[in-house]
Amino acid sequence: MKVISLKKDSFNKGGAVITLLPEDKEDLFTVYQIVDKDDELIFKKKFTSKLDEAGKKKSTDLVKLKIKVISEDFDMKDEYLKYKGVTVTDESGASNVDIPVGKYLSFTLDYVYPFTIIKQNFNKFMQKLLNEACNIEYKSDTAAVVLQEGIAHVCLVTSSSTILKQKIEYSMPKKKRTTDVLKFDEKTEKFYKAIYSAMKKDLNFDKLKTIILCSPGFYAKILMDKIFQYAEEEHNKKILDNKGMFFIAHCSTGYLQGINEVLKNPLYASKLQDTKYSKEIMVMDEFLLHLNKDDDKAWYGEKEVVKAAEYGAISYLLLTDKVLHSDNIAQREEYLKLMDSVESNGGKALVLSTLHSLGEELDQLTGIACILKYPLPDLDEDDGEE
Amino acid sequence: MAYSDYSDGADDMPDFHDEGEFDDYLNDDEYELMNEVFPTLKAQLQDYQGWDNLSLKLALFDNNFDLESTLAELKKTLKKKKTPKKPIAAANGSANVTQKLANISISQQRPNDRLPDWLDEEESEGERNGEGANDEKTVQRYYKTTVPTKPKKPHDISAFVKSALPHLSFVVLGHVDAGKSTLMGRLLYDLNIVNQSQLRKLQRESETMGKSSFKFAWIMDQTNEERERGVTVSICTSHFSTHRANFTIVDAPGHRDFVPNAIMGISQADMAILCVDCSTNAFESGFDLDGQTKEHMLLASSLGIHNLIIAMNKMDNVDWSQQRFEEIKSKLLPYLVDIGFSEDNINWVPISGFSGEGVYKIEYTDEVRQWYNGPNLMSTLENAAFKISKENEGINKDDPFLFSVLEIIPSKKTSNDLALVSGKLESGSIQPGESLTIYPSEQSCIVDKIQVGSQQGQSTNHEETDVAIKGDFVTLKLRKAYPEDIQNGDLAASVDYPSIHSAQCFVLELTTFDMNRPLLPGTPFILFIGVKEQPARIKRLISFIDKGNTASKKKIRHLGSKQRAFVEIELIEVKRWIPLLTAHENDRLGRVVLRKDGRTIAAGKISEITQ
Ligand SMILES: Nc1nc2c(ncn2[C@@H]2O[C@H](COP(=O)(O)OP(=O)(O)O)[C@@H](O)[C@H]2O)c(=O)[nH]1
Ligand SMILES: [Mg+2]
Repeated sequence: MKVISLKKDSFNKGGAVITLLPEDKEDLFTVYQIVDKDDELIFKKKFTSKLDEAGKKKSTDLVKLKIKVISEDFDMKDEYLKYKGVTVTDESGASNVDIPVGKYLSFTLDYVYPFTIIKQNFNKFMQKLLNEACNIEYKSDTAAVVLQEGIAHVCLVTSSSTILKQKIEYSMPKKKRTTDVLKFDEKTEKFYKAIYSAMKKDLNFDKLKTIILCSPGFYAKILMDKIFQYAEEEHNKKILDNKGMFFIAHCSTGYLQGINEVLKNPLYASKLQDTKYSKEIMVMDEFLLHLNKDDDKAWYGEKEVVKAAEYGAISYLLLTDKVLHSDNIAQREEYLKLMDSVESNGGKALVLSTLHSLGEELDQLTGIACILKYPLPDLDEDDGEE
Repeated sequence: MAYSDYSDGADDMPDFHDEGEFDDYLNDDEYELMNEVFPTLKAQLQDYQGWDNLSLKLALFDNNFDLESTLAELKKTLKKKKTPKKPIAAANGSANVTQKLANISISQQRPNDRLPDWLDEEESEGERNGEGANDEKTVQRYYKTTVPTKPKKPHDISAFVKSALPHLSFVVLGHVDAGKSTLMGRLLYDLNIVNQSQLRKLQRESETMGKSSFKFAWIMDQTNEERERGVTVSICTSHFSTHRANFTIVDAPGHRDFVPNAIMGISQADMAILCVDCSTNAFESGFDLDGQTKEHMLLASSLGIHNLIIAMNKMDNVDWSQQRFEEIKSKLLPYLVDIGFSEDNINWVPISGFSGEGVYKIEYTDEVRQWYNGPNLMSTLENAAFKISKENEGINKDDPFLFSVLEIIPSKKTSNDLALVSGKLESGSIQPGESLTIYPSEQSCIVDKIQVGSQQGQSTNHEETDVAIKGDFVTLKLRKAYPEDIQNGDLAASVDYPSIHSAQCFVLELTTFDMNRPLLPGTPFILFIGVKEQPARIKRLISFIDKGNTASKKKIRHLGSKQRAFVEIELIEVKRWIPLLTAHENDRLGRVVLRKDGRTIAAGKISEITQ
């Protein structure tokens, strides 16, 4: 992300005016987390007007527009973020020339023209998101192919999301003593070919650092051999030059869960980069370990976590991006204060992206959880408030 | 249902079985008119379910090809499509966020934007480069009836059961290298299903790969992967008969990575043989915590298998020592009883799969006879077949017909409505001429023929039969079927059976095993149900279950090892609804197993289907 300018609003305390140029899908997700309903956007957009009655002659102009956000449409997989809004008056007069106030318009983000966000509420968390987005270190992607007999998932694992690029499913013939083994092998070959094609289509090898092939049994190993064989056959330099990127790991299933299994396996930790996500997986696993031991050092639920924070006892606070992007501004402020208080007491706050399965898990678990420095029993007891 | 409504309302028209028949019925003008309006109508109904091409065409015909009136009429009767509840991106609260719903591809959806007054924008609709229909969930409706049809040549079921040879299916379980494949190869060889020259060929092949000890195993392990690595991967079924009983055997893999396949094997079997390697230290290493001996037995018990034969294998390696036999038995039995087997239902048979002693044709030596005077393995199996078929004798016409689909056999004729579907009768009986409904597609079909497989040398013979009963493995030839929408793991039932529901949320009565992480709302795992495998997660922890089998009042925040609880489960990454039955309806089909990170963590019975 390029942050072109960031000015704290002089009229509105807490507000800010930010001009940005997003550069990849991670940046789209950052923008998505920052922009709220009722924020204003200034952007450039192409318009086509039909000049003559026949509609034959067209002219395309780049128009500067300003809208107030009504709704959004975001899809990480398709790299797609679109805002809908209604035109508002621009005091500076620079935008919305020739366009009346109150028109409905949409704005789809691209990586070409910078745009400006006028935020009512700009907070520390959003500032942190922006800082992270500008840090190239965070930006290398990992691809993962997780497979078992007849099922494969080709995925991209970025710092903020696991994106399923393609699922490949072949129903393999049931083995009977009479099954034509040739037919079985033929189908297996087709299956690996399909994975190979999917990888070529959906992965950008220039942008990847690691490609994890993982499976139960020997499927991942066979896949790697096949990939190199196919690449050899068609002289695919992109793959042949990057053989070192491929990495075989073991997991128990060919479904998406297999990927997390690999990422949390200490065996592979040294070989995989220490990504933000792998760190989150470790912390979440520690949370589960404490719960399993019933040692009163792990809690979930808003009430319990808030109580623990009051004691200053939290060593890790876990939140989802969803609760921080919720429509309930008051509650959101509560959570931000909570993060502050945890950090000022020497704890750490982690915001898990719900575009990863881990964040989705936490989201199901009320969206908020914590690990304590020392045991605090009975945080879930009601203290007679009702 | 849409189809029957329309055909009922049009008495003077013939009963059309498919779109093609109806097209033929139309005259040229009508046919042209139809093709003008039909695509528009179909496009307009993308958001609705419960129709097929034929029902739409019939409706258009009824309405004199008038698009508006047909549409109005259909919208009244059809339901909006169910859509997965999980929006891909979190909505920011306002009403018009475009949720990426399955079935609705972007290009169809855009024009429906409710906001008025959009300017004429440069952005083309194709700008969004994704394929929006990727996670499509198909909800196609077919002809469904609830009126049973009569068999062509009605047979009396109880008389048939009495006269027929008993049938038994069994799965061979045990730790990797215990000798499962070898044992089965030996059985087939002794039964003359595999002959001397075929075995010699395998011997040569296995020798060239330096694996001559695997010659029997290779009768079952046929794929390159399996032979190169010396492990069984997928399950392999065979049919055979002795003069006392018919059998179906399922060879299951022992390796921990292929436990999912072993589960599929178990769910197809009436009983299990546990193969134990009695060699010095071998039993012990397969019996430790992470060995598959224990896991396989736990799975068998959880999935409703009650009868076990313990094949005490490789006795040749320990000089047929009675002491070793008893030592292993004394270690294994308490465990089996602990996980729910009854001592009376377990038979212990000393064998050597490789030499064949104690299996079928090769007698025990006199030394062995001094301490073991029980039946050999085959006789034990025959006895079990008798016992289990005695238990099944209670079958009468009132038991519902239930059938699990194991394979759809591709047929050469593609255009017509025939399907060849093989699988297992889980309950009741079926005869040619009777009808059934296949779930989740809910298509009603007529059974044209029933074939039973029997092994003849290297090929399977298909003989026709007039009746199939509970426990039989058969291939059904179905008429009025849409094979493209039948999958492995689908369920079929008599047309008047009301209790199969296609759903993705349900309540389990769950028992957890040793787990090193607790189960929480949101915890993902792999669910095994029948021959299906499906990613799922905990939706809700409902309550612990008390000793008295009732819901406890104790607060439930997480579920640890060895606890019992009511838990609501939600299937994830589903493309297709899954047919479900409660354990109350059918004990075997209503059972599930949960695995996570390569371990079996819990087993459950479906107690309620929520949605
Ligand atoms: N000595 C001896 N070896 C056996 C016997 N049964 C199997 N084996 C050997 O054990 C190894 C594993 O056998 P296999 O059937 O592939 O085991 P599976 O993994 O349980 O299917 C092979 O080398 C067999 O030859 C037996 O009864 N006696
Ligand atoms: Mg084997």
